[in-house]
Order: sequence, then C-alpha cells, then structure tokens
Amino acid sequence: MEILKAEHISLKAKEKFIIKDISFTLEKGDFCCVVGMNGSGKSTLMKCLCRAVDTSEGSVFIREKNIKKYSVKELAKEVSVVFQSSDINMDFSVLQIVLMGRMPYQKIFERDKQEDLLIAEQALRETNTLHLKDRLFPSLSGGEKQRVLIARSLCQNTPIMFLDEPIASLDVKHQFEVMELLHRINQEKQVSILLILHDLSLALQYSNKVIALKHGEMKQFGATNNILTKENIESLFEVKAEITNNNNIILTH
Amino acid sequence: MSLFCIIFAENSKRKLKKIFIYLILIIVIVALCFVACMFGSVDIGAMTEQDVYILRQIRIPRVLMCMVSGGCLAVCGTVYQAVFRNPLSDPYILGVSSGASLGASLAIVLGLDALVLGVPFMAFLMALATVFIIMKLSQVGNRMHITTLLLAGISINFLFSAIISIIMFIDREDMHKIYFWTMGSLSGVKYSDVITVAAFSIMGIIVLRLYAKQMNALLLGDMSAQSIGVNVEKTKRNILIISTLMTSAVVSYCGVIGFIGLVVPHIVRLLVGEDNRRIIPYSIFGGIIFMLSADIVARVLVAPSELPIGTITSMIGAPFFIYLLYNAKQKLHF
Repeated sequence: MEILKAEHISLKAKEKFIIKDISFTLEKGDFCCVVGMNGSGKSTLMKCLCRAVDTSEGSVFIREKNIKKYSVKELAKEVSVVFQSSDINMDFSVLQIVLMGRMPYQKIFERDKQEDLLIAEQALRETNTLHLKDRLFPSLSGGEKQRVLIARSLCQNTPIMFLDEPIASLDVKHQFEVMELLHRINQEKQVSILLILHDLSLALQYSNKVIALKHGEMKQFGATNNILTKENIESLFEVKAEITNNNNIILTH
Repeated sequence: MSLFCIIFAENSKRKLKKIFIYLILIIVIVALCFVACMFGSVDIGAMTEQDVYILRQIRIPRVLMCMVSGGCLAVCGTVYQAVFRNPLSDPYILGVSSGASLGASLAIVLGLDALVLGVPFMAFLMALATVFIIMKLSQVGNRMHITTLLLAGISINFLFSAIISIIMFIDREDMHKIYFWTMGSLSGVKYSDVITVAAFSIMGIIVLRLYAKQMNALLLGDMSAQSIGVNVEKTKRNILIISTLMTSAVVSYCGVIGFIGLVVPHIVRLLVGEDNRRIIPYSIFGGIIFMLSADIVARVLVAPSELPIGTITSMIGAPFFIYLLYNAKQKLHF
C-alpha cells in the first residue's frame, strides 16, 4: 500500500537548487535509507517531506493527500520526526519529552490523561528507557537520547517515522542498538521508516529501499541490493568500494 | 506497578507540597503588603483620620499595583524566554518596554492622553512594532542568535531613548510626565489604574498559562515543535501579542520597570525546572514578592523622599544580568 509519495519536488534558495526534481514512492512497512555525501540535500529532502520547509516546486502526498492540505496536528498524527538530539539542551525530564509525543492527540489546553501516560509507558518500555523516566534529557548519553526521542516518536503513534542521522556520533555498540530498535519497530508495527544514514554497511543490512542523492539530485532509488552496488557507490561517493560476502562495505580513497 | 499509578502517587505528594509552598508564598506576600502599607514617608500607627486616608488613597492602590505589575512582568519575561529560546530575553532588555514608553510619550505629546486607553493603545502599538523589528533584525536563518538579539535590543533601546529625549526637549510642558515613563514610578496610582492593568494582566496570564504546554514544545526548537503538532508561527504570534499587550499596560501606568522579567523566571527555573506549566504560576508569586520588596526599599531608603522603583529593580537586575552573561561565557569555554 502506497503511504508516501514525492512528486518532482525541488527547493530553491537564491536561484540555486538545493534539491531538484526528486520523485519516489514508499510503501507501508518500507525501511528506506537516504544516502549521499555532505551537502547532497539529504536533510533538506527530509524537511520538505515533513513540511518543515515548503517546497518551491512539486508536491508530497501522504495516503494520496497533499501534505499542504493537512493541518499541523493532522500531519503530526501521520509523520513523526526525530531531529538530531544535540538541538535539545533544555532541562526537561525524559518522561516530559516522551509525553510531548501525545500533543497531536490533545486539545490545545488539555492535560495528560491516563491513556497518554499508559502509551508513554509502553513507548518507554519498547525503547528500554523506562528506568530513565525521571532523568534530565541533557544528562543522558548519546545512545540514550536517541532511544528517548524514538520513544517520543512511538508515543506519537504515526505510520511514518523520519530520522535525521540517528546514529551519528554514537559508538558501534549503540549504533547497532538504535538500528535494531528501528528494525524491530519497522517489523512489528509496520511503521514506514525513512532515515538519513552515512554508514552504507548498516543501510545494506537493515533497509529494503535506498534513495541516493548527489548535488541535490536523486541519482538512484530502488531496492537496497540494486542500489548499493560497487559501481554505484564509487560513482556516488567518489571513492573505491568493495562489498564483502557478509554485506560489509569497505571504502578506500 | 504501572507508570500511571506511580505518577498518580507522585502527583498526590506533589500536590500537598505545592499547597504548602503556595501557603508560604502567600504568607510572605501578606507580610510584605503589611510592611508596604505601614512604612513610607509617613509611618502609620495610630490610625488617625489622616492615616486612614493615606492608607486607602495612596498606599493600598500602590501595593495593589505593585502586585499586579510584578506578577505581570515576571510572566511576560518567562514567555519571552520561551518564544525566543533565549534565557536573556525580557521585555526591558529587548527594548519592548522602551517601545511602549515611546508610544506613551507620543500619545501625551499628541494629546491622546485625554482619551480613555489612549496612552496604553499607543504604548501597545509601539511595543508590538518593536517586537517585530527585533525579530527581523536578530533572525539569522531559522534561529535567533543571542548576540544579534541582544545587540538589536540595545540598539532599539538607544534609539528610542534618543527619540524620547528629543520629544522631551521639544515639548517642555509635558517633560515631567514623559520623564516618569523613563524611570518607572508607582506614585499617584489610582484604583482605576489598578483595575485597568489588572484586567489586562489577569486575562493575559490565564491565556498564557493555557499555552504553557506549547511553550514547552517551542523550547525544543521550531521544527521539533511543529513535528509534534504545534502550529509554531501562530502560537508564537499569539503569545507575543498577548505578552506585549500586558507589558504595554504595565508600562502605560507604571513606566519602564526593568529586569523583573529576567530575574524572577531565572530564580523560579532554578527551583522548579524548565516546565512552563510550573514556572508561570511561581513567577507570578516571585514577581509580586520582588516588586513589593523593591517598592519598600525605594520608599524607605531615602524617606521622606522616594527613589524611582525602576532604579531599584535595575540595581538588582543589572548585576544579575552580568552574572548570567558570565555563566553563558563559561559554558562556551568548557
């Protein structure tokens, strides 16, 4: 079932295209990675897809409805976004952050109800962060912060989840921990996930679709195994690549 | 035990603690009100006819105005800090009070003070214009940077002070009236003034308290707030208009009283955390206590004369502002 569709979207700034003519479709339950070099337009694409910035041309559809026709609240029930955690430096507790995920379901002046607390509890359990509920967010480690933000996304209970480099600056153990968590959410809840990723081996291991960007243009889109080939990676990243038998990608200059 | 049960139990305990703290704060305020009513250029004790007159016509309206304006300015500071995502924002530092003061001065020069709400209306218009100028000047990309925000505020403050000086120079007849706005004063406050400012303040505070959850979301950043369903532009606009209206109402009747909106929310935040749902009510109490104390000091320090209250709040607030800047610098270093 088609859940997200981008049709010829472009974003211009000062007469220069930041992203240009991007079109693709995601199905329910897809796990899609956006790859590309720095400055290729990955984060901009994600911002356009969640209407954080308006596109100059083209349209984005969720369940065949243009996202411009959704109210902010309606859109927040369809798409949850995990931006990079370094942006949050306020002393909110983990529980407060996670409960904010219930805001799309509450009236503007409504308090947290029992139902909201139960959903938050479930999200904290699923991300193994229940024991952190009273800790202040800035005091958490990078991996814990990402898990808490994913818990907030779960609390939002959306069919689509966007993540902007969720494993950047994490050590290898925590990278796997976060990727496993996302994989589980994707498999068990059939949540469609679109995430920006620099690690091509992890993209090959976990995703079923890949969007490859270069200089703001979509060079390739399709099944991961067809896109992340030696030739494509070499042309995309301008390095030498080798794919091992156990799906590890080794890049050399 | 489920999270709901734990939180329910915690909330019951917290409610008791909250009631206890509120009681203590109310006792402190009542005590300060008593002191503020009894002491001043004339000490009241025997309750002669003259004492009763002073109490009813001068001291009580003044104390009431202190409470209303103190609570109002503290809440406005809280709101500005949430909207600008900047702990150094308050209506005074950003020049919004100066804008309101300029509006009030213009209203006097143009003879609008003869109209009902003529002065507050002009003060509000100029204050609102200042907010938008500040926002435009300090916005770099999607964010408002601390340096540009403060520089914009300082520049606006200088500019408006210069214009007010020119107005005072040209229109010497109204000079004393305008001078009052630049220093802040509560002398000569009438009950009708208190009622007007209270109406704006109470309505404003109720609405802003209802927006507290949205303000919390704004602290996460505009994009994060939007992703959890907050209409960022609309929320910011509504909150800023309401708080600017409240500031203008206070400035119209009490002049520019600085730093309350900076000092009080900071202290409250240290005590109760970042949640605006808690900061707003405690800021009201904090603002009242701060303002009453400053007024008592202003009246007692050089009795039988009195200092403008704005000078006292600035004497406390400016060093506090320097301390906050110093802290910000330390954070940048380490």
